[in-house]
Amino acid sequence: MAGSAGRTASGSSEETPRVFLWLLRVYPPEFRRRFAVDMCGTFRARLARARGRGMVAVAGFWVRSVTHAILYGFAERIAAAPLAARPNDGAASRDGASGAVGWRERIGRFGRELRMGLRGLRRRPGLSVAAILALGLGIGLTATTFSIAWGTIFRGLPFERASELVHFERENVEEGLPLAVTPHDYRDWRERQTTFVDLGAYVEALAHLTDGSGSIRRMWGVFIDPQSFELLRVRPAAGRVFDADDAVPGAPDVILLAHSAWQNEFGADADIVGRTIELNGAPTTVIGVMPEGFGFPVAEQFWRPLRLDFGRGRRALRSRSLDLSLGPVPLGFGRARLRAA
Amino acid sequence: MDVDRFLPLKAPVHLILLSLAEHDAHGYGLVQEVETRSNGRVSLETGPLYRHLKRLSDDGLVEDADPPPEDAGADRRRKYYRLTPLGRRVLTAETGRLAELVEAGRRLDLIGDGAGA
Repeated sequence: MAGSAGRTASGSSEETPRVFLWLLRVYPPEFRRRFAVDMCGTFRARLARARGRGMVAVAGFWVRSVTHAILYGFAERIAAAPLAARPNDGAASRDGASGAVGWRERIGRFGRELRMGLRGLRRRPGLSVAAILALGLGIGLTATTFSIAWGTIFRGLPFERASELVHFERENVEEGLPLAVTPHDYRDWRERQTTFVDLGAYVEALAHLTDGSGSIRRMWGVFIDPQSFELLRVRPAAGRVFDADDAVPGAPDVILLAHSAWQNEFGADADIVGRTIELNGAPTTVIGVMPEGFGFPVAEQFWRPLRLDFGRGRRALRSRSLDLSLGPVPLGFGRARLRAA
Repeated sequence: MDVDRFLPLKAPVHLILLSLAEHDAHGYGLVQEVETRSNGRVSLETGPLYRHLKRLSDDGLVEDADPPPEDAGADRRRKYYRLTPLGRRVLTAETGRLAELVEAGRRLDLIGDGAGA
């Protein structure tokens, strides 16, 4: 098992977020030259895995990544600084793999390296500014994490009877690793469960919007089950939400726009409902605009119908692999029957 | 080269070397291997992982490797790592050191369900 895991999981193929590319600049150039590409690959794969565990996991992942980039980046810069003031202790003892260095010497060395680092920062104001900005970003992300925790855990979600909404996912309990929820699993759960009013699922999506001038704009959203809006008890501000026919594979492409996307991308066009736009190079009909402030699950710009193709190989889709390319990996939610009508 | 100066190995370093002893791997492959081998107890974050890899590479225990043929469709720029002969000797020495400790514990009946009884 271990043999296959190390080779096959090469991670997501999406782009590395610019923030992480910027954070990599905290590391010295020589370190970046050797490891930056692989670090980006690892970062993307870990980010994709965090996304599979929900937005709190994503926020925590970002906080850890920013903190580690700052800490380890500067540590590498200090380690790469001129060694004139450093005892010639050899590579192995700097490694940390060896525990041969006494704690007094460690503390003394830390003090010397700290002073050397501070002098280096003074000599290189550009790097100092980068450090301050990185710290500011870290603090900002921490505040964002708190805001998310405050909004979701303490204040509650902005939905009617939000306490009945639950998020579910699949996990190998023994190893604590997230597992893919295949379309067949999801269908089985939905058909056989009796605890919830119904279940819904969504899959993160990226779309490119083309306008008449030829410019292309990127939009983030989700593919989502038609019944989800009923579960969330939300109605569109204009037009309609999806029905079962929209989710049939091969049905005409349709899209629901967020209020912000309607304003920012389409100039609050009063006749947007029924208009055909070009999304990912395909004509797509706008069937509605959601109310202001609605962005489920986070701050989506659009929603498209989730079309689960059960005709694909059942065996392949039931694979344990975390490879997202195998098929949709719905992130599920449901509304409990606590007070359901 | 005297391998004892690398010992004892930190747990994440030991797990990285164990993973590479089985086959070459890229960074995220190592993250997964280490989690699997440690039953989820050791989770390598990106920063610490590459700090370890740099140290291991600088010390000559690990070196760059070509991607395996079955990863032909993956990002060819990704760096793979493999164990060097020195790395294998260090891993062998560390395993022997731990085996001696385990044996000492076994002689004192400190292993198993009845340990310490």
